[in-house]
Amino acid sequence: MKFPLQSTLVSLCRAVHQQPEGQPAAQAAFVRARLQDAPDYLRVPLKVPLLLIELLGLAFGGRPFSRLELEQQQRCLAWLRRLPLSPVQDYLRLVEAFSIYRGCQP
Amino acid sequence: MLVIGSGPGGAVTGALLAEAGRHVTVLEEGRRIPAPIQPFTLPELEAGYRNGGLTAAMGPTKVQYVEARCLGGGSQINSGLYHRLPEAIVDGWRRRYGVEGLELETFYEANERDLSVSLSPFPAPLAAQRLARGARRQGWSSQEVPRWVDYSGLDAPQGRFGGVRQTMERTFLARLQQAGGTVVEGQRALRFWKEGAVWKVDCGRQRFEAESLFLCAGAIHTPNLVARSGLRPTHGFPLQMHPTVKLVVEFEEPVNGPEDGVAAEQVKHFAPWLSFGCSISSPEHLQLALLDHPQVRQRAKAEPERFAIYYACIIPSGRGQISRVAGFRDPLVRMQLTPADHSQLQLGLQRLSQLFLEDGARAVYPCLSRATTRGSNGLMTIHLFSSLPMAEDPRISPLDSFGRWRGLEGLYCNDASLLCSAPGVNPQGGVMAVARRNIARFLGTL
Repeated sequence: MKFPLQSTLVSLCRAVHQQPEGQPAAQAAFVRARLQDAPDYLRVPLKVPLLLIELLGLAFGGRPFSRLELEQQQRCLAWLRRLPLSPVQDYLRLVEAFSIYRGCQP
Repeated sequence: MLVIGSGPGGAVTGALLAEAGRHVTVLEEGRRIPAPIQPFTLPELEAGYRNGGLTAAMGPTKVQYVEARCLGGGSQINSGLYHRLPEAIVDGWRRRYGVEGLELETFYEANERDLSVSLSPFPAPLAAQRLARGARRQGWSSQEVPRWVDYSGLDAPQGRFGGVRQTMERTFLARLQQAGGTVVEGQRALRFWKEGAVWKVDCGRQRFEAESLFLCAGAIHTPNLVARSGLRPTHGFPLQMHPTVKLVVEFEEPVNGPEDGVAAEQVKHFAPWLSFGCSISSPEHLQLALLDHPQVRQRAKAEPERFAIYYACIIPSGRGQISRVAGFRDPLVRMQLTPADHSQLQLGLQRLSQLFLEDGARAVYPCLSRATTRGSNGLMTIHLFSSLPMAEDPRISPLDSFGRWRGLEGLYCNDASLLCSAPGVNPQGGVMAVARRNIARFLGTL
């Protein structure tokens, strides 16, 4: 089944790193698999932030997050990181951790 | 006899019952980890970890925890470190919980024989040597922890994990099958109930029946199963753990080779309340541990051999809670750490940093962000227990001193849930000794 917001996840995996890490498609596939393995009551809540991030792109560049330039995406995430909301920080940290872990694999 | 779960509690239970001539079936939710998967790698995570490793105790401070979901349970995915329960902790269980029959010496000895518990005959990995040297400099005691590893027949460490780890699959589950017992993989028990003298277990497509039912699904999933079966309220099972914080240490010289064995050194000078030890320091674990230090990650990527990960773990004064979530299978786990716990964790990080910096380490990088006395990011644990403690007082627990459910003939619990409180050491040695004692009691040989 096609994962909703797949392009958002790929863009997020590319933009979430402070430094270029490569393999965003493989990293997104890995993050997607982990989100689908999560405890069952968390599976939908863990996808909601992706939708919000996609919509946030409209405010930052007039286009959905996945269609923004990388620089705009990173500005968008930098703004999110400054928010004093721990669930937002936790979510970005989770995606970054998983994509870094996957990025270390051959 | 039906045993739910094939980890250290369930495997010991099943093997000893089968060897006593009972007809035993062990149900395991996960599957066998296919060989040859290297320990602590992505394929192992995908094959053997519950929820792919994405499990956390919620609360102001989230504590990421790891549980196995595979044949052999936690014994398949850990380093095989072995401890007996500290006598001071066991004494506390006698006094506060009234637990009887906690003379575990013979059970420890039997398990240690069966699992080849021993110290490594090889020189300790450099990362462990640095921890020991730093502790000596501080005047703190440290020790190599024995492991359930068979080193016989080896002239040199075999790759990163010298010796043969004596997992449950290799030991007690093999004995269970030799004695005529059966292991059924891929069966998640959803609920159980009693009809007449028979316990029935619903696993979705299949049902199983037995005269006696042993719950050994681990400290989180045993109480969840109990709640799903309507035996106890769906909220409020207690939970204890050892919250752990990691520290990445950068050395001037190489300490971390890809062929190094498991670094089993631990500093127990402040035990049981605070312990230090070595953690898995593979390149991918280093990258994860340096999540909050992006400028260092590139250096660790280029020269992983100069970095190693260590940990400080505590016995917390805060408590956790396991609740059933209506309409879902997986339980909600929460942990409420106290300001004293946060202070203790920060003290642990300070002392661990001091140990290495005063012994010549180049730098240390704590894996703890936004640390305050109210919360922080970056805590984890691999030790979970005490959700259905054994106790003689029925107001404390429905289980007696030997894991027998009061008032329900033929229902037992025999896993980490039984431990009354956090032991301050790896609990699996204690879990297996208590399980062995309980089966001796069940068989009338105690």
